[in-house]
Amino acid sequence: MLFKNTRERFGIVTIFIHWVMALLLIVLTIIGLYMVNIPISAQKLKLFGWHKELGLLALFLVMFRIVWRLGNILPSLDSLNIFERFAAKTVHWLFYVFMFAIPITGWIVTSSAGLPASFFGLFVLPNIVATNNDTLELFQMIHMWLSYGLIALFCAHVGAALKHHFINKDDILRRMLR
Amino acid sequence: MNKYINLLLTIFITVFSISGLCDTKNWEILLPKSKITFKATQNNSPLQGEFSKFSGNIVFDKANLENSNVLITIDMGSVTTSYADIANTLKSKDWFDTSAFPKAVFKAEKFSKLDGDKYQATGTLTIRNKTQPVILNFKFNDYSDENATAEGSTQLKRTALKVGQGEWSDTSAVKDAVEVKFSITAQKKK
Repeated sequence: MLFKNTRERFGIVTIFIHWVMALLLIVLTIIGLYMVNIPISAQKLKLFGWHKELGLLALFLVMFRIVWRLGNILPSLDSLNIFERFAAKTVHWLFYVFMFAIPITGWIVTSSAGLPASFFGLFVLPNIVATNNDTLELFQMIHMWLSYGLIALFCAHVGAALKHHFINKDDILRRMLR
Repeated sequence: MNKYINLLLTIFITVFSISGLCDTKNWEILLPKSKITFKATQNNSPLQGEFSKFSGNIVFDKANLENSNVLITIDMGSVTTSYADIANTLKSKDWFDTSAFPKAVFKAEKFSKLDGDKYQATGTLTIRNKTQPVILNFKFNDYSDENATAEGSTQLKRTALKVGQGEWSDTSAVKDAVEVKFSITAQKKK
């Protein structure tokens, strides 16, 4: 079992965090899309609570992930042409931009609403901006559009992985699985 | 001779207690310099709000606690929170139900002195026609013949006052304990 990546394949840490974050971001997106559209209720409040906690967890994970990514080599992309390589790199780095920007704008939303997030009851996140309704509305929009961007990026990423697996019949998808 | 002494003593005591009563200070709340805030807990994190309108009768004298009494009436519709949707929810039927119960009343007639310049008021709070005993601890930041500023707090159980009904009576999303704080600045009534 390989912890670190090699030129041939991904290590277990990269594979593990890839799938944990994939699941986490899917759950976060579903909760987020659902919670904003239901009338205020105890359930809505709980969903917001979970969304904030899990969002914070995603921020912690991506901080670890970027350190891991920068400290590791990547398996070679030699089987791809230059356009595919550029597309893959662009999508991957955009993922990092979104994975940081979305939780941080979410943090600004909870701060400007004056409703700080608790991390599973362990601690309460400090407010990073003052309570202000204009800030709140602006960052709600930014948070939402970034999330739509993430969904688009997700589709491109999954589409490319499936194309490689089923059409090109190469091992691009398989190497993230084992 | 004894008779005269008794009579003198009676007069003395009567005059003293009447003057004592008159001395019990009547205060007028200065609303812009006063506030009542609360801190509840939702999803394990604090939620703060404020009541901007309230009025009351305050008869209070440090030297005459027995004759001190306080009655504060809070306009529940004046609730504000950092996030407006929450204030609107608090005004709704399950919470304060401000259209049916527009006022909350705090009444205290028993006061005692604690350590230092701290005091304790024992009274009742009525919200939604539910009355609960309340103990309020407070201290003076300023206390002169003309002006006084007192601040203090108390802990309430919202479910005991039926605040948060139906699905909200479950205390997992919004905790039962609510801290209420106040800071009242008053001037002596002319």
